[in-house]
Amino acid sequence: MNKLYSILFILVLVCPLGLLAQSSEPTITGIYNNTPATDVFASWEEQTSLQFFYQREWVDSLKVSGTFEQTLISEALKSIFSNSTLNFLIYENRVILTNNAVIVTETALITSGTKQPEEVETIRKGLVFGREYLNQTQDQSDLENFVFEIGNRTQLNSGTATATIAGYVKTQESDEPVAGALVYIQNPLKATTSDESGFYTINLPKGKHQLMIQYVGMKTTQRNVVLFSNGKLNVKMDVDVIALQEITIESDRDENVKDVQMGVNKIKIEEIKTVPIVLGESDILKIATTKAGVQTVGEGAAGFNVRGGKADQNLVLFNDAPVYNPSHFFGFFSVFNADAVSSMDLYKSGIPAKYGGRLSSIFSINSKEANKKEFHGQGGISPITSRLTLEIPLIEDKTSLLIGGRTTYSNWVLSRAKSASFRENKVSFFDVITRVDHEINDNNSLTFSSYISNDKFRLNSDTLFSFSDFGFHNINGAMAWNHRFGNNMDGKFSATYARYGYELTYDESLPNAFTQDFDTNETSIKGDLEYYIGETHKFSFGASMKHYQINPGSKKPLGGESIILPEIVPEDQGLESAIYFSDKYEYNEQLSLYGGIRYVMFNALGPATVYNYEPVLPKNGDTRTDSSTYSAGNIIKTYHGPEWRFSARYALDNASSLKLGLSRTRQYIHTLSNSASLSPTDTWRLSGPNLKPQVADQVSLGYYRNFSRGTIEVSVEGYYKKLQNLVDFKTGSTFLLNQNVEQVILQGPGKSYGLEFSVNKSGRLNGWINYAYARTYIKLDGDFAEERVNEGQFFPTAYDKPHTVNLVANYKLTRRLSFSVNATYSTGRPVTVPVAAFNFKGAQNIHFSDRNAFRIPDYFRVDLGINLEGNHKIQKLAHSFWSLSIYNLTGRDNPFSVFFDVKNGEVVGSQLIVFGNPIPTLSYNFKF
Amino acid sequence: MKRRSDYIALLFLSVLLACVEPYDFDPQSYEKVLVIDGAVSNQEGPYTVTLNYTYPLETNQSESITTAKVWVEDGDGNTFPYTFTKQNTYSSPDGFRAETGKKYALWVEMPDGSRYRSDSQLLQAAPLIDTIYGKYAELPNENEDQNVGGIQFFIDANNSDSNAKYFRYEWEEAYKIITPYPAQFRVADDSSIVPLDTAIGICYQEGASNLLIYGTSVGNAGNQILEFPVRFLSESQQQLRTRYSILVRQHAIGEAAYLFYKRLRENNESGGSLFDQQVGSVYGNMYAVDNPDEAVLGFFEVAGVSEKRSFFDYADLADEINRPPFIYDCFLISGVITTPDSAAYYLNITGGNIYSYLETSPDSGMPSEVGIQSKTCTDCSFYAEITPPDYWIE
Repeated sequence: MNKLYSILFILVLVCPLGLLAQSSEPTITGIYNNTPATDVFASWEEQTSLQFFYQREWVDSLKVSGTFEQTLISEALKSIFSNSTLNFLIYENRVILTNNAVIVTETALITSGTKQPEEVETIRKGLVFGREYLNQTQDQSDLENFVFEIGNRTQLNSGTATATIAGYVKTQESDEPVAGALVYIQNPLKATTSDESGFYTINLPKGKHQLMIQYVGMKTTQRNVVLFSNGKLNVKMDVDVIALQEITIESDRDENVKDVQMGVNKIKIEEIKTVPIVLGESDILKIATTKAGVQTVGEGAAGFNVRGGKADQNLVLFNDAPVYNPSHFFGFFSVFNADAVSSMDLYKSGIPAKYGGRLSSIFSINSKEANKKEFHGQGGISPITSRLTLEIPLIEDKTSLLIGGRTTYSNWVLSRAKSASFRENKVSFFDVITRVDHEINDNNSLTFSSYISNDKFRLNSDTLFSFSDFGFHNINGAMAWNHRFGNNMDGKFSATYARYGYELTYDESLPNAFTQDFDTNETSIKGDLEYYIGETHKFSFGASMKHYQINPGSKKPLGGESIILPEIVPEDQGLESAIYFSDKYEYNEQLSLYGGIRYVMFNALGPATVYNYEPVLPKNGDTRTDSSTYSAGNIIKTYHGPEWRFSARYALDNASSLKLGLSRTRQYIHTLSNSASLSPTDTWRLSGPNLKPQVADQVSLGYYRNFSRGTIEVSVEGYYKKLQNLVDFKTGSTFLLNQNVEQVILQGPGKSYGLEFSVNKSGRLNGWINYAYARTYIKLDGDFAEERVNEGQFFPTAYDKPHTVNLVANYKLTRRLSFSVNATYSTGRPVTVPVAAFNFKGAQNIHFSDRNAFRIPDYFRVDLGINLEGNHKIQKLAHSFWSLSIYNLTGRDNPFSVFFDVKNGEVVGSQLIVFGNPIPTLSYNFKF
Repeated sequence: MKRRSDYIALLFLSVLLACVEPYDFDPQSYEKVLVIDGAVSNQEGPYTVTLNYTYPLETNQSESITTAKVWVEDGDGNTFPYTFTKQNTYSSPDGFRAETGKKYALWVEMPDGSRYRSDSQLLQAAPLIDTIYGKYAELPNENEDQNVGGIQFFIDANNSDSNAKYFRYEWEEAYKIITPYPAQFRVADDSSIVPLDTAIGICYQEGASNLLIYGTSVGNAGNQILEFPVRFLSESQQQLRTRYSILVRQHAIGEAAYLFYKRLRENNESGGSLFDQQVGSVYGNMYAVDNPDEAVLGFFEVAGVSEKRSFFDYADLADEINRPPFIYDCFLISGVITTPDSAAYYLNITGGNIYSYLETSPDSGMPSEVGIQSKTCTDCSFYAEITPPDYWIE
């Protein structure tokens, strides 16, 4: 402090008052003609004992012209800085250059020499907002009252009337980015939010502003700024320890009304606490299914159906790398450890142009970025699983590691069961999430993340599995480099790898023992750039390239006695390349527009042998005519086309808006599945000469309105989707090890439409309720009877559930105790049922109805959850909470499926009920 | 079903508590379709063709078709007209025997003139079955809620010199029943105890498969079929109690037939897992000649057949298996030990039979003893045959 004062004092004495003619002051000599200032300073340093201190970018563009003959250094500097924002200070043997720092020095003058009214007067003249400075502090530790100068002072009155501030919002304690922080000024009201990396940009009128920064769970902070021209301002936020009681500030409160994006659900990990959990595991994907437009075919069904889309039409991204099978334990658990996940964005329509490759939706899940300052951990124990996640700073403020693991010990419990059929089943899984973040500097950061999961089971009594052991795995890695190009442009360059595979083993009969596997590998590189032209206008553009390699199945004998011959279905390879450009533009207060185009090219690559078929006959072994052979890397077939993404928002008033969206999506990789839900043995295949890409066009329209100052959000969205080349199959076909899948695949058009009403409420009683009316149909009308299903008419798909109602409510009784309830109702899904029996070879057989002509009984379930948190002392070693949940409180028998078997020569109808009883689970969770 | 678990731990394993309950299905529509079921083989005829219609689920009656014309046409254009024999069944003419290496097709003309025909198929010779053998195995019981031990019978077929790759199997079985207390005596008219004329305590029961069993040697080295499961008998079934005989018939069929049977059976056993396959009607190789869109169910099978019979004694079976208990409870205390004078009375009131007669000499002072047991424990003739089948070997 003293030192500062002494500098200031000298400044007062020396610099502004021109009391410079001290005999000790060095002089310089030189003739310059457009010489860079840095060279000039260097020569002056040589001539004198002075040292120059400055930031290079301030003087980069400064050229010196003129002749100096034994000129006092201060005179010389004055003359060359006369047209710049630079100022200087000569202190002892140092020349310190400052950019616009005249204000700081003059402020100091005021505070240190307020008894010199004359000087104050001078300063006021030079300043626009002089009065403010009298009350402000120069104390750098009191940032809230400090005055930040942004931009070049001289441009205050030149050029545009507004300027842009950009910067990062990060946490004080760990330097992690704060995504979704609200940055705003109150008068006139202008606001923006920070993106995933904490980056924000806001366009404001030039001049003085009080910039407010808010985020849930963080202390609201403010910055006094004087905005001269475009510039940067980074903000650190403190964790709000008091916020445990109640959080009323939401950065995205008006986002549903204000944002041009529609059909999106942003789910924060905090919301997990508001939904009762099942089997002791919080699951962010399960929360998605309580939102309008997202359905599952039943308990234990892996995969989701978004707005009438098939389960393979969802792209699940974990840190930007796709996860092909996002379920453990047949879909009872999601593969994502909730402790290591920070948020999920689910796009149902209006998918931004930077995403592509799947028809229906994007589930973009981000893991947490570990704390860079302190070691933290989080975990939980339940009767089936336990998990632990650690946040480890490796280099303080620079590098951090997140590692999270989860495993199940149900085998241990199973082996203690006395009933034979339980004992014979074996199920186990684990998953590990790791993430390393490294901040190189303000403008560059690196992220490495990986995800590994593994499931194994041995099922004794499942009728479908004719094998004994089954295992599947996801391996997933992503590497990203975030770079900031100046104040207006952000870039992200990443490389990802994703693998999903399964292997099955049959060893019950030694002569017939075999192992069989499937795997898909996807490697991609991409670059995404965002260019901010002020806060109302943003360009995004980029390119990506993705290589697929799929082993559709290979079978090998197991053991020396086996007579099984090795069999390999040849690999599929493909290259998917895309470029995109989009523009988000806020035309005025009312109208905001988003337009994007994505152009995708897909090449099916060799090596391959492609069979040709008689054009006028159904494809089968007899109608195969000849084959074409392609060598490695040769292009077999190319598909390409544009995908447009358009949305518009029109604000009706401050609290309501209308939005419209139009989009096209294409898909080049498809699952071949002949069961209603996603089954672990589904195989993925690439488009090729005999498997066309799927295409979807969606138009959606929505009305959004907020009540009670944004604590109640209401929306109505309607959509219509037209689909082409949906993949289906001839009844009774098998895909496992099928060498000629084109002979059993059927492709046909589809249509989906629906209307979704949702109400969200925040506050002490919070939650959401929604109703969706949704229909989805497919038509399989080939040229031959065997290629037609249901006489070639549109028929409901197996996941067509017209009415769905979801209610999630959470009530905080006290700070520590909260109750939550979840209720779900939906129409039963369609099934194919017998319409007649017939005798054949001495037994009764079933003759079936048209496909999906009937429905199973409706689904209804209520779950209850109670969370009890430990005490809230800040200094406690670890925070913990107990969570009790009861799944299916009423014990209703919800059939998962209805099926018909012939038993002892008679047709018998049965229903499969997954959770027919209330399931209580108690789990303990902790955090330190 | 609300299964109460005794184990708290299992409460949490609700995944595995998933259960299957009966479902009362109310059929809302009925579709009447012609079903044609026929076969020819290189075994001796007569071969039959049955014509049926599908019938509503809750009924069991199928409409009779008695006046259709049915014939088989071979690859050379010869036709073999069938004649109506009994309910829905038509039989091949005398002297018609299909031969390997020839093609056959089935034709049906309904009384209204509509004609149906099958694909023409080649009759392939079937390879021989080498061995039939049993091994101990545990498989889910009928309710699939727990495993039961039993004997799985397998066949091995070394198929190296045959082109046949797809097979359908049928089995016929017979087993010997020995009641715990075989009836030996009866009460003669003069109240004396005399031996029975025919033994009724030892019988033979026959059965046949009614399930589609199919297999393929595709993907197996040397085109062989090893350890192919044909029949499972749990240790609670009577077949394994004394002596058991099984005949396995191997039909060499074409790929189309194999796929048809496979899909038909998958339809019949569709459910119970989380990943049920899509079911739907399965059509075979019969077509309506004049109206290609008309649905016809069923199949005309042309197959070479080989067969093999084996016998198994309980003592020869795997050690792990427990001997199946006799189907009826036969405790000694439930029987009666009495004197010859009272035997007729007891036989009258119990309906049983005499399994033992201990005749003492009048000098001994001890009365003669007659052992009587219930009918079910002494006599099997009321539910099984007392004469062994022709092929029976002890």
